[in-house]
Amino acid sequence: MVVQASDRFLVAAAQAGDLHAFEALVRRHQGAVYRVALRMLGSEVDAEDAAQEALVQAWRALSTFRGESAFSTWLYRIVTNRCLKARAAGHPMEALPDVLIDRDSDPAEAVAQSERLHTLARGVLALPAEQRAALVLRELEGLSYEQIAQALGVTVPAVKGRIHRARLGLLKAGAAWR
Amino acid sequence: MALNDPSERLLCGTKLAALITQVADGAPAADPAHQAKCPYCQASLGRIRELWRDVRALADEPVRAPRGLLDEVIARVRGPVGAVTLRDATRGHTQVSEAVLAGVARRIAQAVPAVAFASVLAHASGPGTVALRVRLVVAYGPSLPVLAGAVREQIVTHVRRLTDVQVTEVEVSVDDLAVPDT
Repeated sequence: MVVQASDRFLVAAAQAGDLHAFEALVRRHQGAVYRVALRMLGSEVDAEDAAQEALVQAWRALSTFRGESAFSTWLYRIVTNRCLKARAAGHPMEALPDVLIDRDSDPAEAVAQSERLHTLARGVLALPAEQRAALVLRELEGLSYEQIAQALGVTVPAVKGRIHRARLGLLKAGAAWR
Repeated sequence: MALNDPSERLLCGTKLAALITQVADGAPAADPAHQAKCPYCQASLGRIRELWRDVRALADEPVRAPRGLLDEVIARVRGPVGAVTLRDATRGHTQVSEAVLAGVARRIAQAVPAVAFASVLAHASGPGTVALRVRLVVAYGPSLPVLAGAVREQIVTHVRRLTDVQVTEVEVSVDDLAVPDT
């Protein structure tokens, strides 16, 4: 179902207490929340937990959302913080989910690519947490530096520094596996 | 030299970070003339481009939220809701929750042409009665007072027919215009 209502409308309705409007927001944004958690944490089980906690927290904190950033940026902030805390608490890292293979391409190349992406996702996980958060939001979610600064609660230059270091780190790791 | 030092330079003096930004953010080359001829720059650019093809492939991977995530979240945040007790209690009472009344009214509102989305809050206003607050997203075109009137009338009529609850008040606000599908 395509909900023809803006985030702004749905947020206002949800803030007034309409759970159905919040449900529409969750349906719209749960994919992004879960993706970030998966790239940050590496395990599907941990990612689902973190996504669920983040979305529940979003409902509880909804009255504090003043629309200064996009609702999606605000959600990114909540789920990223949740993942940083989860990792700091020393949750074990489980096996990465299998990467989907593009069936239209040459099977041998598809398998090779699948392995490379798997290694790359592992390389992302090996980055220091704050660098990883910035890199995931930039390279995998496509946020602007300004949006990432809002989501991480740091300045744009700080975001740029983290992303630079994260990219360098990936490149160094990449040189080792290629 | 620190492994993650962003000031790290190639043997030709070019900053590695500048080449990465060039590939990852599509930034212009700092010194295109040098870069075109320099084997160090070309070799590094090749490696970076290869890695970034994979980064973009990883970003494009379809990752879907697990089934059940939405339901789990909604189940956890649903608070206690009030209910309306129907007046006809000849062989026991019947209660209808405010959430159900809001859901019924929402569907009725959304069935009105030009209503794209409706948000409804319901509050029991007495035995067998409910007051509703309706927020609408509507398509551009129809007269808004006429549309709001139609929504109110449909809700009062059909909530009564479907639930036997009398609607004492329907506050309607038109809060947004629907964005057409593109």
